[in-house]
Amino acid sequence: MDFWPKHAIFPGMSRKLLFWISLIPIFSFGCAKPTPIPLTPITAQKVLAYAKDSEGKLTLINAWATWCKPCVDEFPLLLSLREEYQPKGIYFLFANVDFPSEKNQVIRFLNQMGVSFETYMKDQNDEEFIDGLYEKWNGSIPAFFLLNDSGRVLEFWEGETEEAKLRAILDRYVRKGEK
Amino acid sequence: MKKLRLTFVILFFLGFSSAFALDVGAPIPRPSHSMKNIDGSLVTLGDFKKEKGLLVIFSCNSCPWVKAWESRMASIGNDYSKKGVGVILINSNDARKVKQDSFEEMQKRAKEVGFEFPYVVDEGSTVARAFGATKTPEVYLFNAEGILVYQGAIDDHAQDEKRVRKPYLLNALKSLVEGKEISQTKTKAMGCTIKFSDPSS
Repeated sequence: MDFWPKHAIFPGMSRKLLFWISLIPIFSFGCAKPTPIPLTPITAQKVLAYAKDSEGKLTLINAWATWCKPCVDEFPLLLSLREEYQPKGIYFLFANVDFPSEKNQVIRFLNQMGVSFETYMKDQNDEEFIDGLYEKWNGSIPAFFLLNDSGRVLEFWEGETEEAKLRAILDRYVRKGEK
Repeated sequence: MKKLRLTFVILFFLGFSSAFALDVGAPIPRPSHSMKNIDGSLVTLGDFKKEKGLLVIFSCNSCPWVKAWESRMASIGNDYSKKGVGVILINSNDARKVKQDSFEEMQKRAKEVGFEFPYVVDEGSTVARAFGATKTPEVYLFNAEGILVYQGAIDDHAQDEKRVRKPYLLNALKSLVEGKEISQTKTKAMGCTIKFSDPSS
């Protein structure tokens, strides 16, 4: 223990005790809980506000739920497309619409999917959320909305989406440079 | 290039858009189209309209929103089918895509929940397409003349019946049976997309 210098701030503290105390951060680092994934409550108005804040970019909003099989099936695809298309100017915003009591289940799912970015959970009654987001949406999921930075819906569709179709839409807007 | 663009537009609309939705004021679509009920009989919407009207609910076994609402669907349906309104539940999901929506599972579910009205298979999702229905649960209420007078949700709180503030369907049914005007004819709620049969199948 001679390598451990006599601590200048706590001169009365034994070297041995100081040594063990100094190990706490090292061990606690390994045992630390992962940073909770942000699952932020959101209203339709806030969703639109985010799209409007995108400064010349487009926003693809995905309304989804953990118990919605097509939503869950296509989630990995959406994550990989997010990686690919965000640098091309299309932001992805995931708006979960599970019942509020299922929040932990949603977080578990996002953990399993390796999501580490902020996603959102509906915090509004159904009708206000649906109409607030897009009047032509009747509330079925999965649902997709491609918005420009004026909050205008450029594309809207419901149901499971094949990769080729989704890419065709996104590529069209990337090429067009739609704003 | 023009051809390619046109093809894309056509494919896009075929693939994604819900081409139309039945509007209030429209007549019952496909009233003579036969559908198989869980008791094995064939029924049509036209046959099931009663003297006060017809309540059609697009439903299924697999959607959590349906599950949250189905005891209310049963009590409302059972009650109003005794008050002169024909009640029918339609499952338009393709059972090949969703096993929980097989005919046998429908029979089981109807028994468990206590539906005292038909729960029918919409083979090929024909009726859902004719209605422009896209999700479950989705309600269509027709009056005695077979005209759509209410379309939308059951109420404003799927998860907890005690927290319902706006019992949309009950209000519409009450007005219909009492011969009053329905104040709110169109409402919205979350739901599951109908798992349509492929047109070719």
